[in-house]
Amino acid sequence: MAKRITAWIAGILITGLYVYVVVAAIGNLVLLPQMGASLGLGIAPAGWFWLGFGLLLPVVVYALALAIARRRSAGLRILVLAAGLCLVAAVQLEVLHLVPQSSYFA
Amino acid sequence: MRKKTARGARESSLASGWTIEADEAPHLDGAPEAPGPEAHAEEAPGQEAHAEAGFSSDAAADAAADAVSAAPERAQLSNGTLVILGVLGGLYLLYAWIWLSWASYYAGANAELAAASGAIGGTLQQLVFWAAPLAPILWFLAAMALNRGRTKRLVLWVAIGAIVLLPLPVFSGGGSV
Repeated sequence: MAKRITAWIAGILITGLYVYVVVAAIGNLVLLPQMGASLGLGIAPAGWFWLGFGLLLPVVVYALALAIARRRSAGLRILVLAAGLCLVAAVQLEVLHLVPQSSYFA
Repeated sequence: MRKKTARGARESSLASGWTIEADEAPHLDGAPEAPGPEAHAEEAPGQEAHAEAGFSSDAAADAAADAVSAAPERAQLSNGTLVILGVLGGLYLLYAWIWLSWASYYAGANAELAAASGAIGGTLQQLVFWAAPLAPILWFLAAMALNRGRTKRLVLWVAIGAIVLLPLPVFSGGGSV
């Protein structure tokens, strides 16, 4: 019983981080065009792509992680979910590094 | 892949050959533990992984320890698989180190941002940044745990991870803002 509760708590915490990444991506998607508009700039197609990518990536990775770890033990499922979250974080760092901020605006 | 499995099969047949041919070749009886390393050394030129032997030696031990703990007596990993996993494991550790450096860079930059914006979002963003260095490690562990006893799939998944988690900014000089 305690094991199940621990697994659920860990799963909920990790899911919460996924949700945060999605919420932050939605925030970027909504606020960045406003920011650009206040500067008299629009969003470039590449900018839209990266904003949408940041929104879709955590969702897709979460679904994939759940699908891969289906019918496995709870600990293994949480390990795969955590690995997926770390993958999302790593890709996010990559995008931050490689895509210049100025290329979002047009 | 095929080469690797062939080597594994050949090595085991060699070991069984020892017990059968012990009467025919008594002059080889002196070194019962010779065939393992000898066979390994014979195979070495055919495999590019051995070019990085120095790099893989401790990583191989690491992966061996992982393998022992992950798959106790389900299936014995062949020598070639262990070497491949060791090399990739070392590569994963290198990835983790690179991601760690970037995470600390962005965590520092983000700390100022977090101070300006909400506390909750800043904290969570920090957590996400610091999760990145764990990605190679968790991928390796998850691949190990998900593919117990299925060596080909394990190597495939670890190889996929080595490509997916490749720290791309390394090739562009890094730090482009």
